[in-house]
Amino acid sequence: MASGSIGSLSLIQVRLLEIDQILGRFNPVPSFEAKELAHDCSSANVDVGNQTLQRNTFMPDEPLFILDPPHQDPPLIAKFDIEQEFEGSVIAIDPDGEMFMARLVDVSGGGPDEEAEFSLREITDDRHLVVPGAIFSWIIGLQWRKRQAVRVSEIRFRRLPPFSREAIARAEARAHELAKQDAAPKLPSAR
Amino acid sequence: MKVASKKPEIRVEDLSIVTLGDFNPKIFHPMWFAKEDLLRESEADEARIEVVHQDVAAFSTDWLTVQVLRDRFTASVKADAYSSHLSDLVRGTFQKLRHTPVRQMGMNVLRRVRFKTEEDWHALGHFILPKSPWDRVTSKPGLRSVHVQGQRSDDHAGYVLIIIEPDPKTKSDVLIRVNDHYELGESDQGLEGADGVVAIIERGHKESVARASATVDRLIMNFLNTKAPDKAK
Repeated sequence: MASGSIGSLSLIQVRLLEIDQILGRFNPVPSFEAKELAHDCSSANVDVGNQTLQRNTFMPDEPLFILDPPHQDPPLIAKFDIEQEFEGSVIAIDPDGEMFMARLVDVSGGGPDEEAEFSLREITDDRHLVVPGAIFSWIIGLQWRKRQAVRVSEIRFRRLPPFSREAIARAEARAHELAKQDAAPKLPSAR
Repeated sequence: MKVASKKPEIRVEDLSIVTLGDFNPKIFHPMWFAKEDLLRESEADEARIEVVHQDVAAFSTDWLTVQVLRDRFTASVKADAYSSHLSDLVRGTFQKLRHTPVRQMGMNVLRRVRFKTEEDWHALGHFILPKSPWDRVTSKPGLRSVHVQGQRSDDHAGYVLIIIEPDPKTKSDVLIRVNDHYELGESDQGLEGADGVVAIIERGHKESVARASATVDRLIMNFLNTKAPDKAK
């Protein structure tokens, strides 16, 4: 295999050192676990890096090394004991009064739907998402940040991407189906 | 007589969506997510960035962790209150990167089962792994990890993998992970690549999480209803 060199180090060695420096451990021993994990998407924390690339580029049969990314801290919010959770949808906005009206569905308790007014001042980052029809979650409960419990009432707007072509196609197919059903005579003919 | 009369406490420990394919980690900077309106700008500003490099990107916000390697994308939350926001983020990401080659995906739920007594904790181990086959093979056999693969209940290519492991730090907790695994491009439903990820999440991330929770509940119910466990002699 042809490769260039810098001083006494080959380009491959330089690259290895760079990556090793950035990512941590250098493990020259191909591991059974690594081979298994390369095809497994069950784990959120992975100890395997770009094994395929390295194998193809440098050594056809054996992985040269395994990238082991540094341990990643979990999110700060470790737990959220939900006391009440609503799914809200924006009905109307009053920019002058700095308010918006929303219909709330009680997700946690199964209570009746309600309507409520919210101050737009409560919404800072998500302000541009407050439009009629926008969906948000409103969660009231005890949030565990590491070992500290904080009582919170959090409104978070859904960042729902536009529907995919596949979802639109499914909806259209369903609409055609319903239209056909509607077109079919439901009552005996007058004739 | 039942093995355990006290119902253990079960809660979600971690929810994640993992995809396997070919990724370009260096673009997965929190500011990219904010620019694409997939994350709040303030969250991107305050994100704890561990590394953003051509081979790996890793950062976390208050509620979310993202790690991207060249062959793997992982987004996870600890609090299930953010489940729908996790699915919005991953769905939005792959809708923006719709030409990214993605071959497999998994929607994963990790639940922690906390038993009231150490005896109940051992009893689950005996229930999952009967000890009589190990008689005179080894002394004091104990369950370290069990992987059980089941068939999907729908037409998608893939499987459901259930992993049961005791939490080594305690004598009361068991971790049960349910991996709802999809092979993209091998089904007859046209679910390929990034579009497949978007479609699968759109069709049922919430349902997948509910199914995983029901799976764990069912397993624990079977355990609670069982007769005497098969212990070591």
